[in-house]
Amino acid sequence: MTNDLLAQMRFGFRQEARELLQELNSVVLALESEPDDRELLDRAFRGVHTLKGSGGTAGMKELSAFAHKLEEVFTAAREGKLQVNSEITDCTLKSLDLIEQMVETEGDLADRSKIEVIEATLANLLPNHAATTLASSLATVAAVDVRHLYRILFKPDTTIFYSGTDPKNLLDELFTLGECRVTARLGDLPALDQMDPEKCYLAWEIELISSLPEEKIREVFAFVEFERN
Amino acid sequence: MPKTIMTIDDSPTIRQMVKFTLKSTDYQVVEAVDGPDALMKLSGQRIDLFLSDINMPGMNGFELARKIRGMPAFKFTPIVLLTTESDQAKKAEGKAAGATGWIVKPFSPEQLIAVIKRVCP
Repeated sequence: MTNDLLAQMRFGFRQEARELLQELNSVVLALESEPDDRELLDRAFRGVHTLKGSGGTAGMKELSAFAHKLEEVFTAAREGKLQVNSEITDCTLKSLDLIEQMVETEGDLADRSKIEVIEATLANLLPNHAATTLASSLATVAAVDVRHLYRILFKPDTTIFYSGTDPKNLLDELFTLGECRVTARLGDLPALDQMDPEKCYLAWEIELISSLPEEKIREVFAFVEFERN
Repeated sequence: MPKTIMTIDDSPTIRQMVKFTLKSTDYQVVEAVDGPDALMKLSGQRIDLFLSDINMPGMNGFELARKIRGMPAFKFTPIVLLTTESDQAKKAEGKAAGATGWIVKPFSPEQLIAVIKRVCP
């Protein structure tokens, strides 16, 4: 079943990739003579981005990973960190050839060293990697710069476990959204002989510093909040 | 140990999509074509999450959720329902039947993974 589906998806991807590659090749050739054309740059980026995404969905991990490396070059160029020049367009055309070979052989390339060589060339095209990371994280901070402090009181129904929800999972998810501090409220905890081990007596006070908007935070509680309504 | 998810849907396309998406995220998948098939496949089987369609011939997703929730082995196991409507009444009915949450169809693999990870990381 899975293999059939995968085969179907790969077949579909091959058609899509052929069209994308044809388009990309002409866009990159046009970029060679018009290196400052924003629309061409955007088209090149989108094409490579789509190859990465669709390839990954079709289970072609190596192709997707390679397209990601190429995408990084175009991301840097779009952010103005990299000037498009003949070195970049040459290397991109070589990369597209390689992607085409991956598509036609379904990723079963005989010679992997080619990938490594081109990947190294792509990495060299990028501005200093550490500098890029720092600059882009600074840019992120500057762009959002609104970090909210959310104070959340999570006091689930004592029967929450019977709905198949483990409150710990929700707390864990909050930790992935920003800087998070959780304090358990033990006030409702009954004496040991009164305690039903299948019930939840705890509540949690949460302080979360996050740049995400409120609805993203609320999403974590989407299934439990419903019970109250 | 990878988590095992049972997908219950009469549509092979949905089952394939779910299976493909979850397997690529390192979940194990057990398929069932409808409620009775799901219940039959449960004996002795460890399931960490149920993902069930609502509109199925024979036994609908609510009935199945009630039956699963009533079994001691699955008293606390997450049950996520696939629904085509996002209306509150259906969600309330699901909750009352013991469901943990829901995914509104059509959904993308990313949405599926996000919900599954929320209730069964």
